[in-house]
Amino acid sequence: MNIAARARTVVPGPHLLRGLAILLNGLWTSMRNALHVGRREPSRSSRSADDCCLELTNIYRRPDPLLYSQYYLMGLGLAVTWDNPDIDVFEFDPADADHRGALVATGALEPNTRYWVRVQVWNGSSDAPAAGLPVALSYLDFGAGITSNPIGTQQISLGVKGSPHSPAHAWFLWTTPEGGGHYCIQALLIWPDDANPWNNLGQKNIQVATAHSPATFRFEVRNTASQRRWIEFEPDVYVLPTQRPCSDLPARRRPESLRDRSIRQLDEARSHNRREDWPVPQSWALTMTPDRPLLSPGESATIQVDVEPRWHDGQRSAVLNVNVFGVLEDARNHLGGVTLRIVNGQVA
Amino acid sequence: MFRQYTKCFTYKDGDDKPFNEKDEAWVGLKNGALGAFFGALTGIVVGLLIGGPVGAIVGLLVGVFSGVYVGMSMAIADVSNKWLNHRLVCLGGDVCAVGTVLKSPEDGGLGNFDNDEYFELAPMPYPTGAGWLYTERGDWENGKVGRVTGPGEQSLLDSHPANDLHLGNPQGVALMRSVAGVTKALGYSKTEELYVHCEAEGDFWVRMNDLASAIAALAGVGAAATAAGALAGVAAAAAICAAAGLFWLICFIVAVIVIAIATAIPAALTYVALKAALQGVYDANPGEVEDTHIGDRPKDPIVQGDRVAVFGTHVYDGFHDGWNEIHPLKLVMRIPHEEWAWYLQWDPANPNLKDVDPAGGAPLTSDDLVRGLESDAFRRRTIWLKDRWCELITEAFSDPVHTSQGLRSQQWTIHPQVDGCRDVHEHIG
Repeated sequence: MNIAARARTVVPGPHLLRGLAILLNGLWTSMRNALHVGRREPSRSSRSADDCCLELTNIYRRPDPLLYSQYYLMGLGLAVTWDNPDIDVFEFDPADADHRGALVATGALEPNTRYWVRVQVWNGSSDAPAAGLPVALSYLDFGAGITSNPIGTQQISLGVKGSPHSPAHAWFLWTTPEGGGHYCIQALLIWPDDANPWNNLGQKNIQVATAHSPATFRFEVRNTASQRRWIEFEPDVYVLPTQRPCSDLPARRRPESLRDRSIRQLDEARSHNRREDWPVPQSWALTMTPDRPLLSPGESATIQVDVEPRWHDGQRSAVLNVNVFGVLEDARNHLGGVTLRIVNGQVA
Repeated sequence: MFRQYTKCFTYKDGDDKPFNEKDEAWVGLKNGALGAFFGALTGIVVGLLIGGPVGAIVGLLVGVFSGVYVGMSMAIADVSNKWLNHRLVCLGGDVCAVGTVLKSPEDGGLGNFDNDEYFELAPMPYPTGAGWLYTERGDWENGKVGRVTGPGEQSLLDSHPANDLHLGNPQGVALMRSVAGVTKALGYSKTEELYVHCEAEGDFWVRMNDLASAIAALAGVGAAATAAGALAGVAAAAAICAAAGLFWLICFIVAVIVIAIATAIPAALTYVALKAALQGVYDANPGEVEDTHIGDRPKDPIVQGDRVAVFGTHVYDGFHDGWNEIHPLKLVMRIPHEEWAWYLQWDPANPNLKDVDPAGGAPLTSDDLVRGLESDAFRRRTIWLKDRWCELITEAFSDPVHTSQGLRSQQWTIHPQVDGCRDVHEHIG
């Protein structure tokens, strides 16, 4: 009921008041028209990608599926291990109900044998899940910059951080190639509307050898660039730190925004995970042959690593990470890496 | 975090009806205009009694100011309270839906005194081409298919009525129909809201309420200045006529012009100042732009044609002609693209499209694709896809998950092994 109609019902008699109500209604309509009734022109936010639309700032959310992603972490200035904690290989056990057997070391896989590969996926978002998240698994002929061979793709349901569906797991049945050898297993999470698409690729690349004198490893590197470039190696002995008990962390007096928290925690992570803090001990004997190969486009080379740690009493194994870089003039690109586990005794 | 300022209220047929936009005009004007009128009257009488003619003029100005100030303060408080607490009727809590955005998000506009942001959602699997746009919703009580813009599309919809958004679409039926015993006696627009209206809340009326005194004072000063201008115009016109000894008709014309100018200037200044103040209130809250990780890339805004999942409170909005909607919208997220069979759309004109069952089962046949929701397999797929999203989203808003997210072990932002910590004594619940 408009105001004029309301005036007729509420004030049936006086023409003056009825006229006043009509006048007020006209005034109201004029005022709204003057304030631009209807839709505001889109884009009040200069942060819009194409100046197109309202952003629904607190409503529009994106998931952030992630796994331990060496390239991303190195980009943040953090040391990494190539023994990826989110990619594990299990025996295929026909006797088990779901045919999943014991965890195996990826450095000791048998040729032409079935294994289960489990990829563990986390969600960095507390608001947005990812239903039907594709996880693509492949393996590289062992080494850095080698061709990728697909194993398969699985879709998983990834819940938000802190939910029963995070982390979620993708399981792949994989038969290793006839030729045998070592493999770098690579997992890729595919989500186009991803808050952070740079933490979606993780690798498991590990070799295990017994510490004869010295322990010897071999891996291949390949120059995938279109120009000749030097291949350089940066070894370190970084291992993932043991998670601290939460109760040991200092309490925060004031609430902080997610952005401030992520900046603070990145700074703290850098202070605990600097590559410079994990050098190869001077007492180790380490040689890499060749130590700085120059490779033509598409050319590959086998790198031999001879390493002899200095063992402490009771120590059963040691770890050496070899990070591989391609160098062309001022450009230095990270090509990958391998974690070498030296076992003091039998191979694990 | 989503914003929520409103509270829906429980309504049963026959109760006091929800606050409507026509009430907004009445509440605003009756308080403001009547306040000014009675304030001025009181001011004149009191001023005249105390100070004679000069006192009457001063009393008029003080009365106009006081009347507008008090009336407008009351109007803002009244409208704000009704807007926030007596506009939305609860329909049963939070709901989730999957569909296609029909038009890029907009907001209400300052003239509507509403800075909520909203868009329309066509629930999956309803098609969204130009010919499929509704002009009138389906009549669910009489089983009559709705009207769409394309004649060919209308023919297809008539042939397969289960695909009508209001007759057979599972999400459309659940979200859009009147609820018997709750809102059935209220109006429901046949042509106004033809899809699922999704509305994220703005804070216009909350801020208006906070700033009611200042805005009312500004309006009061403006009204008093306008009245003073009118009086000054009368005095000036009288002085001109007396000094120049003008013929009465010319004197009258001069008086009208002088009074109009003297009144219009303060009135225009008042309008400009009030509009600037209201616009400031309207634009004030940009949301929590700090609510992102440091590594997050900029967002591509949700636009027309995006496939999305939404979550929010299911209500009946009685402010307009009446319809069900999701308000406040608590989450919208994009369902990225079709390559992975994340979405299903009825497309009877293309029965030979290759279908892939995302669960690894048998693909839909051409007959399924033509019949759409009349096919059991098609209907099952639709519900499965919707549930796959909605179960995860509903879980994200559950109390146990919120409690878990408060644990310090869940405060990592890079990777749990890199910047996380280990629960030792923390417990959920």
